Amino acid sequence: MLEPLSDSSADPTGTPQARRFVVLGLGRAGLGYAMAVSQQPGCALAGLVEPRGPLRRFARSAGFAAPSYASLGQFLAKDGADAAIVAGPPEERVEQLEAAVGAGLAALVDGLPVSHAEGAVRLAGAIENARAPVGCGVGALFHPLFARAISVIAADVLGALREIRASVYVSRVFAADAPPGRGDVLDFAVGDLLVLLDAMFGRASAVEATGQRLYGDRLDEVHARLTLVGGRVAGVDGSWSVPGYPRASLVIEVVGEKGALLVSDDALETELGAPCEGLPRGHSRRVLADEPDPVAFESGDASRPLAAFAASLPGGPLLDALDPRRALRVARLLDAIRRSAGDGGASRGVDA
Amino acid sequence: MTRPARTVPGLLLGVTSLDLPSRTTRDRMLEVAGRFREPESLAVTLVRALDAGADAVYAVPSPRLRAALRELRRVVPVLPRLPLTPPADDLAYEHPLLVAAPDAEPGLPYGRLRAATTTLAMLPGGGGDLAARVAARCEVEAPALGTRAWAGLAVAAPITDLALAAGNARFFERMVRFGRTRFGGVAGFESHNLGPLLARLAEWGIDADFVLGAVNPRGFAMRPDADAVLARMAAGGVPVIASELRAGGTVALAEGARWALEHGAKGLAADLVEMDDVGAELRALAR
Repeated sequence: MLEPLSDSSADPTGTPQARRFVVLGLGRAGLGYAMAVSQQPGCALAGLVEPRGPLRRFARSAGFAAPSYASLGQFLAKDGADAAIVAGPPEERVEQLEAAVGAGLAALVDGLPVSHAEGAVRLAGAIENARAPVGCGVGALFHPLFARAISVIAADVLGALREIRASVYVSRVFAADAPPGRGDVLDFAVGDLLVLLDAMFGRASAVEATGQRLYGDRLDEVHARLTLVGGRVAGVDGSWSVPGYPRASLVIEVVGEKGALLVSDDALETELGAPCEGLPRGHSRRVLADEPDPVAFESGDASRPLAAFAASLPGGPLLDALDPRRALRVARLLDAIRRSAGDGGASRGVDA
Repeated sequence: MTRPARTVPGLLLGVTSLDLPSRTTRDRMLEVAGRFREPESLAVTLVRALDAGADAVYAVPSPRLRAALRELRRVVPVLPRLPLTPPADDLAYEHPLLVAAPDAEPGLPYGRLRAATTTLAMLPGGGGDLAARVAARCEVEAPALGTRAWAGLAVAAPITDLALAAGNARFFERMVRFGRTRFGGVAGFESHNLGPLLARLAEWGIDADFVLGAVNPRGFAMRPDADAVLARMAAGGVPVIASELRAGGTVALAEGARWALEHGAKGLAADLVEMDDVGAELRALAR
C-alpha cells in the first residue's frame, strides 16, 4: 500500500520530526527543490524566499501553501526552519548561502554555489565556520551510472592510469544576436564534468586551456589539460553542440594498466581484470535501467541530492557527494581555465 | 447530467522525442532526429502509423511536426502534449511558464487572442491561477501544430508534476474541464510520477480521462517504484496509457507492451525512438 502523499502545508510523515526547509530562489531549480521537499518523507516545506514578486506569485499559483517572502530575514522574523535550499540565480548564491549559514541553518546548494575563485574564497570561511551541515548537490554525482563509476575508480582496480579524457557537449544552437542570457558553457555544463573528475581522481593543481568565443566575451568552447595532484593528467573538452539531444552529454573515459572504463549519461562500459562493485571480470555494459534508482518523487535534478542531504539531518554524516569543499575547488578550477584560455593557453595554478 | 463516455486512445505514436529529452541514448536520439530531418519522411511515418492502427499522434507543437502535417492531405488526429516546456528553457533562471512563448507563426495571432479570452473565461483565478496560465499557454502554442484534428489534450509532465507536488487539486479539475471543452476528445496528464498522481487523483475524486506515464517490466522510471504503480493501477480509477515500454531500450517493444496491458494499462504510447519499423511494429501492437 502506498504511503499517503503530502501537500506542501502538511508534515509528509505525520511525525513531529520532519525537517523544515526554506527554499531560497524560486526559479526553475528552486521550484524543483520545493517539489522535492514537499514529497520527500521526513521533510516539510516551511517557506519560500524570492525577491522578485512575479516569481513568488507564480509559486503561490502553482499551489504551494508555504508562505513566501522577499528575503530570508523576513521569513526568519516570522518563522523558522532547520535547513535552507540555496537555488537563486548564480550571482545571488554567495549572499544566499552566507545568509543561511549566518542564521545557523543547515544549507543545501543547488549545484555549484559559485563559478569563480573570488566567490570560492569568500564562501570557504563561511562554510568552515558553519554551525550546521552545508552541502552542494551536483546532479551528476548522483546519476546512478556516474555514481557506480566513481565507486569503480575508488576501488582502484584499473591499475596505474594511463589516460583520462572527459567531454561535455550541450545541444544548443543560438542565433548570433541571441546568445544565452547569462553564463557560458563552463557555467552551464563543464562545471558538472569537473566535479565528477574531482570525485574520481582528486583535485587539479594546474591547467592549460584554450577556447573559442562565438557570441562575445563568453567562452563557447573549451579544451583544457588538467594536471591532477599526484601528477596524472586529464583532458577536458566542452562546447555547445548540434541539435538533437536536449540534455547535456557527459562522457569520461579512463584507461589503466589493468582495465578501462567509459561512462556517460547513457551507459557504463568496463573492461576489468577482476570483479568490482557488482561488475564482472572482462567486458560489461550497463545502462540506466540496470541501475537501482530509488527516487520516491522525480522532480529533476533536485530529487536525489535532497534525499541524501535530508538523510544527514540532524547531525548525521554528510555524504561525500555533497562535500562543499569539492564545489569550491571546482569554482577555483573554472576560474583558472578562464584565465588560461584568456592568456592563450598559459599554465595556471589552481589554489588548493 | 451524464457525461458522455470518452474513449482512451488505445495506441499512440509518440513523436515528442524529436524535440524533448527522452530516456534513450544520445546516439539513438541523434539517429532518429536525423532520420526525420525532412518533413516528408516524418509525414510518411505518420501515415504509416495511422494505417497500422494508431489512434493519434502524441506530439509537441514543433515546426518539424507542423511541416510534416502540411505535407499531408489526410487528417492526422493529434493528442498534443502542452505546454511545450522546451529543453532550452534550462538556460533561463525562471520557470518555463514565465518565459514568453514564441508565436506559433508570424501572421497567426489567433493563439494569443484565444489565450486572452481563455484567461478571462477562467476568472476568478485569472492570470494568478496555474490552470488559467497553462490554458492560456496551450492556446498560444497549439496553433503551431497546424491542425484542428485534436484527439484531446495531455498536460505536459513538468507542469503536472509541479501541481501534483504542490497539492493543487483545483489545477487538475480545471485542466480536465478546459481540455475537454477546448480540444474535444479526452483530457489527461502526462507524469513522471505515475504512482503519486494516480493516488492523488483518486483521493481528490478527479475523473481525468487518462494519465500517461512509464509502465514496463523493468520498473524503469516508475515512481515511486513498480510495485506501488501496479498497485494503484490494479485499484482502478483513471485509465493509464503506458509509455517507456522498452524500459530505456532494455526490452523488446512487443514484450513491454504485452506486459503493460497485462498489468492494467488501457493504452500504449510507443515513441519513434523505440521503433525501427514504425508501421510493422505498431501493427503488431494494434492486434
